[in-house]
Amino acid sequence: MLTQKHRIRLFALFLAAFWSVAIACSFGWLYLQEKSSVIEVARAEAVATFEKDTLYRRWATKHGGVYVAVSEITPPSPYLAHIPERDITTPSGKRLTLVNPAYMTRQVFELADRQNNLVRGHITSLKPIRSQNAPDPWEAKVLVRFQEGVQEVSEVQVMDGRKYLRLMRPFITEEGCLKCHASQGYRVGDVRGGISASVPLAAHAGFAEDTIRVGAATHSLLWLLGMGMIGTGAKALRKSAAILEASEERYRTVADYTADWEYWQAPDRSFRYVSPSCKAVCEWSADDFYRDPGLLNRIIHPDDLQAYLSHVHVSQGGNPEPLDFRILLRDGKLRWISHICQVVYSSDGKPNGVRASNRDITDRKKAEAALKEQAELLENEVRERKVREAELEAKNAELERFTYTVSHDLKSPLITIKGFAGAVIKDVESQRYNRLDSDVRRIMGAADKMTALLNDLLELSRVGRIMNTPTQIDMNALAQEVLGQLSGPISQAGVAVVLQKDLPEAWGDYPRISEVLQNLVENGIKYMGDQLYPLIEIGARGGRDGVVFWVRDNGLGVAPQYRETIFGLFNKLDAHSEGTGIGLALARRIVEFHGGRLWVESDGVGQGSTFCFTLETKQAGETKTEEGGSC
Amino acid sequence: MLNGEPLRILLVEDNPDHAELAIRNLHDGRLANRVFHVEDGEAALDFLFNRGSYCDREKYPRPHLVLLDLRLPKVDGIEVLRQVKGSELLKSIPVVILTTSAAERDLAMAYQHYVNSYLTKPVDYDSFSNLLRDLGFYWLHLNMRPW
Repeated sequence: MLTQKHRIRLFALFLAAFWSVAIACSFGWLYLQEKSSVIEVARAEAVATFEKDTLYRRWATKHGGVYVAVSEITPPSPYLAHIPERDITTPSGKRLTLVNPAYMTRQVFELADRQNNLVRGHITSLKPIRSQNAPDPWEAKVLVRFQEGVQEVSEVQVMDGRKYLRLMRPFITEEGCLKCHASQGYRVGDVRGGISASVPLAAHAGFAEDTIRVGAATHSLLWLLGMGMIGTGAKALRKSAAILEASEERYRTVADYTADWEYWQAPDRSFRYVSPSCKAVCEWSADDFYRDPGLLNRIIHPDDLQAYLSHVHVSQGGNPEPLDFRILLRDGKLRWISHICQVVYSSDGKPNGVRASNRDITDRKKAEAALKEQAELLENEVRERKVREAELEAKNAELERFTYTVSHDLKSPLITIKGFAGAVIKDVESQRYNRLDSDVRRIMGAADKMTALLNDLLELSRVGRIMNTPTQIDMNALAQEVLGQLSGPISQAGVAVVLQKDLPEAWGDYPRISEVLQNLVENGIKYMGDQLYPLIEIGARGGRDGVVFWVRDNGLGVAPQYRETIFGLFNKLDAHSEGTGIGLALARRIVEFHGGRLWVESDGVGQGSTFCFTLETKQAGETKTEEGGSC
Repeated sequence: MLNGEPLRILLVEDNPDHAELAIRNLHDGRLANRVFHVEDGEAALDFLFNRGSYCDREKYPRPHLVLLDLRLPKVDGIEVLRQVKGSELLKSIPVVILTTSAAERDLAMAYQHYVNSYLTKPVDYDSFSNLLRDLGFYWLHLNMRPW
């Protein structure tokens, strides 16, 4: 991987190379420009010289040549001997000879030749009249090209070891030329020859080299400056890149090397960062989340999604609560995630998405569930044990009450028996017989009482212990039977009995239920008091717990404070009344063993009483029957 | 102490045979001039508070001793004791429990309600006679009363 530092180095090198090439190109262009301008200037000079020469020569031609005093330098031209009046003598005897343009030009050129730095001219032709005017090899080549129509030729040539720009133009035949050259067969317009101008380049090149030297110096300076700037810039960049890299490494190390699945979600719910550890937590890679921000919602268990979405909604408000949810793995397995997040803010204080940590807490959840299950089991066990304990306590209390009652009530007749037996012995000893009879009767009465108590106890102990198979009972028939059995006491007491018609059926132990009804009716007869029109009614009504059977009398009634006392074992409100006081206790015990209740309703003394009891009308669940059978 | 005022005992006993035995023994010892007998707790309270059919103070005067059975019809002995000892008027009357029960619970309850003495009825005739004689002698003759 290319680090930022390397990238900066490469970029700097590229920049340096580019700068070098740019400077080189610029200098090259300058160089070429200067070089070509030397030629251009020389050519312009050549052209100017050429034009001027042509002008002078044209002036001379126009005048048909000029007469010059004959001298050493200017002897009469032998090539003009055929011209009349070539030599004339002024009236004062001075000799003059005709100088044609060619002659004149040649003399000027010869003058120029003697000075090195002047432009050298040369007039020439392929057919020169004067042999000295014959062309040099370059001129000869150019003259041939003129005949082909070329108007101007210029070239740098070396002559006598020096560089010259040579320019040559054709020499066109004009009217005035024919004076001398008609003999050669030229006509006006023909190319008769050419004039070349050679400009020495040395001086011009000198200027150009100066410019190039200055250019080279400035370019070098610019190059150095550029390289320096690139170098310094690259160095500064590399330094800040190194700082950035170190800082990035620090944060990357902190963020990437974590066991939890960390992420930063932008306000648009796209992922800005997902820790690589997410692969271990949820089996999807960080890239999966970068590519598809909706993936998160899809892997959350559908049952937990609503909770998560409302959590997201709340978290945007800035105060998110931690949340546990399940995610689905690719193979369909579940994993528990503990999710905790907070809103993050950019440096300018704006909300900048949410930073979240997700921890795999599947193991913890499993342990918790196991623990919970254990706790529930334990709780159930404790509850059951408590129920059993309460039952046992109730049974114990009942047993204690029973023992207490029994010991008290059985001891009572014994005291009577022994007491009066003692009295009888004393009376017999002192020969007093008046109380004997009643005392012995008391003894016998106590013995009978004891027998009755023992029978009743046996009877009571049978309730629940010995059960007949429960059946569906026709209560009408049952009531008729009970009334039949009690017909004696009923008629004796003169009690009217009203039996309600169509009593509902009940479910239970037939003989026992008969016993209940019998006890209640007997109780009614026994506590009728001085009622003139004794009445006992038997009926049934709908109640909160199902059907309520009732036995109502218009007898003594029960004061509110005794409504429970009367059901106590061997409890009697009236010490003189018949019986042991077991009847109501027995009736209640039977009803309770059937899962019902037995109670008394009375408006008080003299208002009569209504004894009520509830029974199942149909067979209840199996368990109840079993309970009844096993108790 | 055997001054002109007759000594009175209220006997609260539901068993008529036991009552007869007690009365006979008390009379035989010539200890009490008058024994009033009631058969249940409600009657005992009515007697003591002179209410209901016992409102005549002349006929049913304040007793010098109460002999109280515990197992009584209607209001039981402990409740009678509680009401007597809870009454400013009656709490100074000595109350002796005379019962067949020797149950610890009853004993504790009786003392919690400020009983003056707790006796169980002996089954043996001589013991029964002696007990009642001693009881009457102690409470009515040996024991000093402020009234």
